Amino acid sequence: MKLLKLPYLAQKEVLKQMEYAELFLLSFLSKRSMRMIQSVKRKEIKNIDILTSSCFINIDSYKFCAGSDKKVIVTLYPEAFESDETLRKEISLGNVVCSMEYKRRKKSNRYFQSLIVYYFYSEMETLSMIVYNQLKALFGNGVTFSLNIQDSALGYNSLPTFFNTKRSEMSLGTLLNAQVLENYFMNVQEQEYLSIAINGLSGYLSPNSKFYNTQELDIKCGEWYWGIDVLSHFKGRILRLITASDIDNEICQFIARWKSCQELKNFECLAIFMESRGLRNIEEIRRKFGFKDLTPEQQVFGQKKRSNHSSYIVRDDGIVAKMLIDRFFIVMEVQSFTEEQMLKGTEVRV
Amino acid sequence: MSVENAPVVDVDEAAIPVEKKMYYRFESNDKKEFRVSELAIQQSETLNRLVEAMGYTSEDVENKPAIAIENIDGKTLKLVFQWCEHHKGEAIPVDDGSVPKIVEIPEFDAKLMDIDNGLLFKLIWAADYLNIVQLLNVSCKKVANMAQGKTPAQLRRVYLLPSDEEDEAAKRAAQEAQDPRAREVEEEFEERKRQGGNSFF
Repeated sequence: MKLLKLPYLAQKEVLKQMEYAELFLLSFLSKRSMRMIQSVKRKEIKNIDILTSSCFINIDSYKFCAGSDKKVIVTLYPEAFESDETLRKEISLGNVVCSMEYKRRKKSNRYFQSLIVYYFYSEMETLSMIVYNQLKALFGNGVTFSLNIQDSALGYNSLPTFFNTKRSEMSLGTLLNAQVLENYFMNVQEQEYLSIAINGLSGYLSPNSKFYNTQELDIKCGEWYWGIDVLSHFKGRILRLITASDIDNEICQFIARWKSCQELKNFECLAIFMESRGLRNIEEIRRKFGFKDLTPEQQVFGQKKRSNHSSYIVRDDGIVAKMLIDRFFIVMEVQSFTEEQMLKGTEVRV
Repeated sequence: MSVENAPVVDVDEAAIPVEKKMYYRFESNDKKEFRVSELAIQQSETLNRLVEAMGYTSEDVENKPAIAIENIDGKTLKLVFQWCEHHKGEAIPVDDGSVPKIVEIPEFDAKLMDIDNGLLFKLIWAADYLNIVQLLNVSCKKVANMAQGKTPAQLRRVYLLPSDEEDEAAKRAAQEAQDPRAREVEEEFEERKRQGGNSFF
């Protein structure tokens, strides 16, 4: 069947009805086949998730998933992965010789063939990069890549780095070397979102690390001092932190940074949940930053959804941040209005 | 071919309502004639518009020459009209842009398309030309299904996809065929270079 000789509309229909894995393999055949697939523009692919997991020191598997149902495009397994080797067929992806097979999988009540590619450990990074670059070329620059690392490994020498990754999730049941994390952030774009859960960090990140520029940061860390570092250097919009106690000073410094209007200009929301003893002196924090209680009218003013804020503070330029403070948590949400506007709004409503 | 001998595609007499059904006559490029019901024609946007524009009466259909479809042969057109008759009255699917597109191939269609790739290729061209949306969907699905479980090398064979080198060679050959003088000039230039000349002119 001469695919390239079909009328354009038919060619498009054929490609629209193919599985992502098939398009992926087809794209390796020639520049022309790549252009043909690119022209179809699979608009449903807005995000490609790269899921990795490991058993030992190295990453063991990569899964590249796409679409709203996160269907797997291709999974990379080491050559040593247990499966019927007679079913594997030798292929070349880019300049790497590897093997592949299709496995039958079920998703949303539909069966589909899932593509598995087996790699030699020495070529793991090269092959994962080939796959990443191919998918990037195939589905366009508008596609966002998200990296998800899940493992209970002993530790990483390096984290898989794909430049276009804008969102990352890391769940590492281990102590992570700070330099490994530093290198990762040096080699990817500034992150829109990072969720990181680790036992602790060995060493420190530089105060100017791109890690702190992450726009939305969800962090759960067993180590007390890392929470302090994050509060001291964070420059993004949203910070959610689960950490140990005794961080009154750092919270105060954070609020002071925001209040001064000199830093944290795009900051929107802070939520800190503390374990064990929690805050030492809530009253001192309230007093220091002039916490004012919200009336019921002020509480709902400017809120699209129900909120539990009980008080507010005011930035030097008049902008309000609604607060909820307790021994074990503090929530701070910056509003888009000034105190004066809120008070007037309340008066009008009354 | 006379009207009497024209292959009528799947006429269901029992289903003919009190009101007399209208049949149109079409002729393929190899002069094979077909009688197709008005309802079946509605599956093809192109043919439907054509017959509407012609405004034929039943007498016109019998007395005037069959409508010629000049770029589709009889074998392909027979499949097209068989498909249209089988699916007559069915709603024409609207492409809502959802991808991956989920298309199931009904049993009838699967049997109809149990043909060699050459004929399937022609069927797709016909479905595209005659704008028969669902026939195009199912025939393209059949082509898409050919990719299942294939390695890149197998995909190359199934879809007859040339390599970059073959594409380059074909491009060069096409350029040369278009302008044979270009090749001569190139050869002359190479010859002069070999002889040590600095200037071509």
